Amino acid sequence: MFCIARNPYILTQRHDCGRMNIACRHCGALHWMDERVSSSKQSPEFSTCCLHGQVSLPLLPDPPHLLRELYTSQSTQAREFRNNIVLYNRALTFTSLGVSQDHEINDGSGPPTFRIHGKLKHWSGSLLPQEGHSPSYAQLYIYDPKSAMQYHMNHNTGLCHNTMQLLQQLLLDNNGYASIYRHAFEILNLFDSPDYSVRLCAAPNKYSGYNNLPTVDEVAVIVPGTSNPKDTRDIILSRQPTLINECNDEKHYRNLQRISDGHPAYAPLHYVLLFPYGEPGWHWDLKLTTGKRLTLRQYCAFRLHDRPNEFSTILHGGQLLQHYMVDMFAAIDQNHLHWLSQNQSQLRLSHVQGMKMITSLYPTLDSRFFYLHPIVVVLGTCINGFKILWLLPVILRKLIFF
Amino acid sequence: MAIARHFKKIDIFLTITANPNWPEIKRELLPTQQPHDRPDLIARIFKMKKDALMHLITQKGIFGPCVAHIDANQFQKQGLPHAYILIFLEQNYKLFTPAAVDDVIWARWPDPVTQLHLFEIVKKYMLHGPCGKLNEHSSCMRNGKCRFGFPKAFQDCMTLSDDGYPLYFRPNDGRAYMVNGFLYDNRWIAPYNPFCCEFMDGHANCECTFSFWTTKYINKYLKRTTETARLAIEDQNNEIKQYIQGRYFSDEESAWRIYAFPMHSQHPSVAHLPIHLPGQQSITFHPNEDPQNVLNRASQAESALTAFFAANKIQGPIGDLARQHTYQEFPEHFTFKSDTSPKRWQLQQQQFQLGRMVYIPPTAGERFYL
Repeated sequence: MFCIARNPYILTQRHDCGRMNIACRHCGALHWMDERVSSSKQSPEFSTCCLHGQVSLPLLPDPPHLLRELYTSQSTQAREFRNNIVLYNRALTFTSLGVSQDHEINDGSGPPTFRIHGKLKHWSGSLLPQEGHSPSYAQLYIYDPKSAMQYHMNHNTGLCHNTMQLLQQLLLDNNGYASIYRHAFEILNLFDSPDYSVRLCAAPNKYSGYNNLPTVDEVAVIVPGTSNPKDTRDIILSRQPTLINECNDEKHYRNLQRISDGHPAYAPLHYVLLFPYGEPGWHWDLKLTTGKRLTLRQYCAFRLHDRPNEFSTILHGGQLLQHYMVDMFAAIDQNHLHWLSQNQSQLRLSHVQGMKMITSLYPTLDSRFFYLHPIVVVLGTCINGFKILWLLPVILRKLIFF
Repeated sequence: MAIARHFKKIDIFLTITANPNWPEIKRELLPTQQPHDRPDLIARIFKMKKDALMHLITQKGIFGPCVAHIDANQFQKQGLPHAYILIFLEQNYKLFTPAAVDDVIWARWPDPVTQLHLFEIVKKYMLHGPCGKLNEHSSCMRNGKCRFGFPKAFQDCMTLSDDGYPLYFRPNDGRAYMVNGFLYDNRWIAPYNPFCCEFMDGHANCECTFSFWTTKYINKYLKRTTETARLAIEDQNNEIKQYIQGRYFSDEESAWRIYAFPMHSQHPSVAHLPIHLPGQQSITFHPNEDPQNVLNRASQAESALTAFFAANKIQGPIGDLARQHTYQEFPEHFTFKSDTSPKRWQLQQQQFQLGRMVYIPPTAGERFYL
């Protein structure tokens, strides 16, 4: 091999990775032999899927038969569904996606790509639309199916009526959140007061079983009460948009609430076609088998692997898979940065001399007052350091790598 | 930059790009899927192929013994991953003569009879254009010119342009072939290395560099990891907000990051050497910690600079060796042990490391003269 690339030309075979047919002995995910982290070919070890067995999560259940058909069949209806999966999902989702997408790159010259810019959020609205507005998103699950269908088709004229009806019925029958939302609506109707609301709490205690996926009822617990959230991660449902202020006959409403990415319903409420039963997603209190916290990144990496004994709706999603991956990575990134912005007061740095001076002047003061300038510390592991360097003004180019 | 300073010259600059039509990807697609439906597979296969190529370059020495390398990953506009690889070769193997460059870098049609396999690959992946006057709407056009300078002029032998860029051997040998309705001759071929092209089965651009300025240009490339945009910035002091506002990413990059694949790597590593005046080294502490404790801790801790002074004071062979080297050369022979107490420089056992002093502007006064 030595100097082969500079000698006179000889024919070289292309590099072939072989087949993806080696199962991880812990979680069963399929890999190529070249992906192993151990040197032995007899008992290869892999780390991207489950971190040597440390990530132990239940597999996704088989989707309803009809949905499975749509994902795999070659019929015209199924192909139309897969081409427009993003539109179908948008029509049937509970929450809306708040993001600025880069539309310039999808100019038809290459394959479709989902590229975003800036923050990404999921929004949830009230259960009834504001006066004079047509219902959308979760509100359509409260309406009777026929008129909801009418709204769906009015908004998406190009889509197939049969497929939409099939999907709507399928979600009404199977998706746990559809019944929860209707139940919440009934409760709100009993207490007919504008500031009465219902909270969907994550119940982490019930959500620790590793063998089965918990049902939606176990994850999202309905807690009625006035809107006074104890945990900011809860999803708050109210009947009408909240009135913020009223002046000169103009009413200002706050009708959207941001959903925390730490709620297990974050992904399933939006990606209803990837999680047809409302299978709960990542949660703050999930643990590795070693007892450490399971991070969102590890959770997603576990889900994004083919396993022979699992029909992964996620990997069948096509363009919706692109959306899901970008969404999850945005959440991972935002989690890192959120931690940093919340812990700024804990990260202190000073010069030894400055410290000495201040101690001699104020010997009794708490050390928390001794910082010379508040600087934002960027973890070297979390973001590419180079990138940050170019983003910052010259004065702020003070990077501390942990 | 520290690596380039130490090894004098970057020899080879290689750009490899993922090819969504690799048979490995097509084989593992679920029924009815297209390659762009599975960004996860593309990312994983590209990672494996890049690692295989890096192994051949660094361990097997396909270009000659490789003393140092840097690589960085980026994502194209359409999201496909590609990697930049810089290779530094051992002194005797450096590309100094035009003949040596011609061996490694080709910018001409291969022989369609004896080199058919390579010919097909060049035809598929290594042609540029048509652009310029022939196609004003090509994506590479900037101000009426191709931003890569195509079509290039024919060259009878490899030379350097006035500004130090290499002009590769492009013979006017009459070879020209019709691809997609356009006649391509040697002027339209992007420089490539036959081995890398065939090995990767995709676009693999290969260049060599001569002047210092080209080195700098490549470094700019390496640092521009993902495309970023800056919007109106409300809060000048909030780096996090600025970062969120400026970030751009696509599905391929998400897949790469979710699998926690590295964005860049280099060998040998470069140690950052702090410079400060007495008592000005920085310390980190917890806000609830007793200040007296912090001061005690600080008085025992040595920074890399104070430990360097300490090492120079030592009597005996280690001190003699230490006195022969400057601060900047120090990490090449010693390792800074941060787990011992007090921290100190030890004789280098295994790994070779380069040093780089942090930049001190002349306006910093006394620190600059230090």
